[in-house]
Amino acid sequence: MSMTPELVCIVDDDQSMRRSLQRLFKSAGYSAEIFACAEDYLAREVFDGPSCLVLDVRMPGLNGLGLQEALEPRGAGEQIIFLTGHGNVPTCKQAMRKGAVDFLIKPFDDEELLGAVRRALGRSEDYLLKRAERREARERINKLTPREFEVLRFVITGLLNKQIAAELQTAEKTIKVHRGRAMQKLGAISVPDLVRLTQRAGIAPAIPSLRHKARVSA
Amino acid sequence: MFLATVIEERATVEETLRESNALNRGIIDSLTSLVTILDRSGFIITSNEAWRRSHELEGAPTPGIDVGANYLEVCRRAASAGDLSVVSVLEGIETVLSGERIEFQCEYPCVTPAGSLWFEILVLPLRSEAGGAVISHRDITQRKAAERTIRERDARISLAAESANLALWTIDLERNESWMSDQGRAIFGLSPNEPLTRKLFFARVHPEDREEVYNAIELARATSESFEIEYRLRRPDGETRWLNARGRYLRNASEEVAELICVAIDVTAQMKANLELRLQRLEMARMSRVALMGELTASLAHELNQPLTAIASNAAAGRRFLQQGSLEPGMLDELLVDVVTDARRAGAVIHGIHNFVRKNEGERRAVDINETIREVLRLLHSDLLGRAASIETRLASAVPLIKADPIQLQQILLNLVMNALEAMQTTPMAERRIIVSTQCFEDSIITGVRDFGRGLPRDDLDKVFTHFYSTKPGGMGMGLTIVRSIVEAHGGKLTAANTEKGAQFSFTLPIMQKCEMLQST
Repeated sequence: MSMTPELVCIVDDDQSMRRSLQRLFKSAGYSAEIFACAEDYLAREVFDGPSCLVLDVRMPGLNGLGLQEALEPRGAGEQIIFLTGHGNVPTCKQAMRKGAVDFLIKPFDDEELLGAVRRALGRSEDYLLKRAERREARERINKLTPREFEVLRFVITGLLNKQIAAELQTAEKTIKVHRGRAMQKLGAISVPDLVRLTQRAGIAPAIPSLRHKARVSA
Repeated sequence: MFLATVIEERATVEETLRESNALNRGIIDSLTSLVTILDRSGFIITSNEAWRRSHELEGAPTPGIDVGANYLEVCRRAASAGDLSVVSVLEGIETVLSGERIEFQCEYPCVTPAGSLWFEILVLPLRSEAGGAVISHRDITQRKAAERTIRERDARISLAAESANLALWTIDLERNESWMSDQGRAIFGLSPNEPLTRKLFFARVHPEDREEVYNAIELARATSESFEIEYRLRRPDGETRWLNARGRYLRNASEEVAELICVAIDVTAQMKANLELRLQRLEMARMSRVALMGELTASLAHELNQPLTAIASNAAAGRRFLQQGSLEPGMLDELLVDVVTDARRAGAVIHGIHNFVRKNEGERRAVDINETIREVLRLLHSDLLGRAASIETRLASAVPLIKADPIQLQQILLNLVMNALEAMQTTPMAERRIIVSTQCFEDSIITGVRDFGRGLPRDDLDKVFTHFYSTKPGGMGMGLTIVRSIVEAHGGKLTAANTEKGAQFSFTLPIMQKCEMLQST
């Protein structure tokens, strides 16, 4: 288990549901916060550790699915577990497609819910880790000049310097210089290093026009 | 001088005697009854003016018979001529003359050239040493005719009563006599000769209805107005009959209550049919409630799941704390209080469902309509959330109580709110509103359920109340019909109208009167 503090948030319009869930999570060693409505949760400052949101589908005002949609653009790390009084297939499908960890039908087994919370927190931690890595990788990549960046995108496709030169219609020597500088700036010693780094940063490789192929074969 | 005095005295005595005879004559002639005086052997000694005049009219019982004739002989002749009514008269006179009787009286008919007459004869012994009898005849033809008219009227009424299946009876308070039609005797279970008395009458009235009947009759006596009342009879054969009775007290010439006259119709068959119909209506209303519950199952499951889930979570939390050895008494107490509260809440939901779908007798009691509205909205809580409709209440403060079946009242409201929700299915979510309102008027409360949906068909607003009319694909079209019948059974009225946006259903219910409140407490 990570040393970062974890948080379980409960959003339910039913007070006794909130109280009982908070108690259950505390008994399992989690700190739990309760919110009576979606709007209250949105008003809370974003928690930067792994967190999980236990969310009732039906609520006055913004309902569960509405809150899920509202949270998406914020990119915070909370993972959502939906609770509902009755299984409604379209609602469940929509929630799961949008990345919910689980969709539990009341009354549920406490182990079932706690298991879902564990998975959600794990997923939240992974998400935060990946997000941190991406940020770090992006920061490094941001140091490249536009030309170095362009060359990098071809390097990670596995093209040789000669082929990249053909793609970019420049001298092989020039490519070699840009490639060397980029590797230096990024602290990479091999092409696989570069591939991993760009993957972490979420950078897609360039799509070769394959002009070089003709030259190579010629 | 002495002789002169004697002669004078004698003259005075004679004069006095003459005067006395004249006075007696005058008295006897003044009587309107026909008087004859017989000696011991039956010879007529004298008769009065009325007797003599009756001969001239040729309407007398024995025309042409006067002083010197033997009355007994006259009677014997008439008897042997076949006039049977004279036989008893003859016997009567003879027994008075012989001293066997001190009075004889009877009524007898007498056929005369002037027509059929009725006489009342009274024979008394003559107070004289020589014996004899005084016979007085009185013409009672008119009275007899009146009596006959009454008898015929009674017979006609009896006939009418019988053919209309009516019970008819009179109790004459002055003469302590009563009469009841045969049909009445059959309905009341009285044998043909059993006299109807007030006591017997009340003994037949169903014990639960006795007081009401007594009060109605007494009120009619005091006010001289006729009364109408429906009550049950419990007959000796154990059968219960329903009667619808009317009656009033008749007053005599001196304005005293003299006679009670009543007419009643046996409405048992009708009551049974009504009861059957009422039971059918109740059953139909119940089926409609069961169907409503079916529509609400998701919502009700939610209402039940909330407390059950909370209980399960609390219990699981308690066990974990216990296993960890970190269960503090204060926390345990709080936890258990929550569990109890939730268990009660679940119980209330189940109780509500059970009440709603069980067979009820349609029992009415004092109800606060605002409270019923709140209960229904609680029941609908998650359904409203699920349909993203907001509900607004505009309830009159401190509403008077109404007398209603609380379950049926819930049904009315539930139906109308569900209808409002249905009507807004195609309405944008933000506009889905329902306004439930109550307004008090002098003797009624108007409850309104307004939606902001598509409104009612413009051509015929009343169409929504007809059987099997439904805009819902899965609807039975019975909801509003049943709602209307329930409202009307409560003495109210259900109306529908289109507003500038959507529809409004309103129903009135009469406010409970103070006396009703006392009764029901």
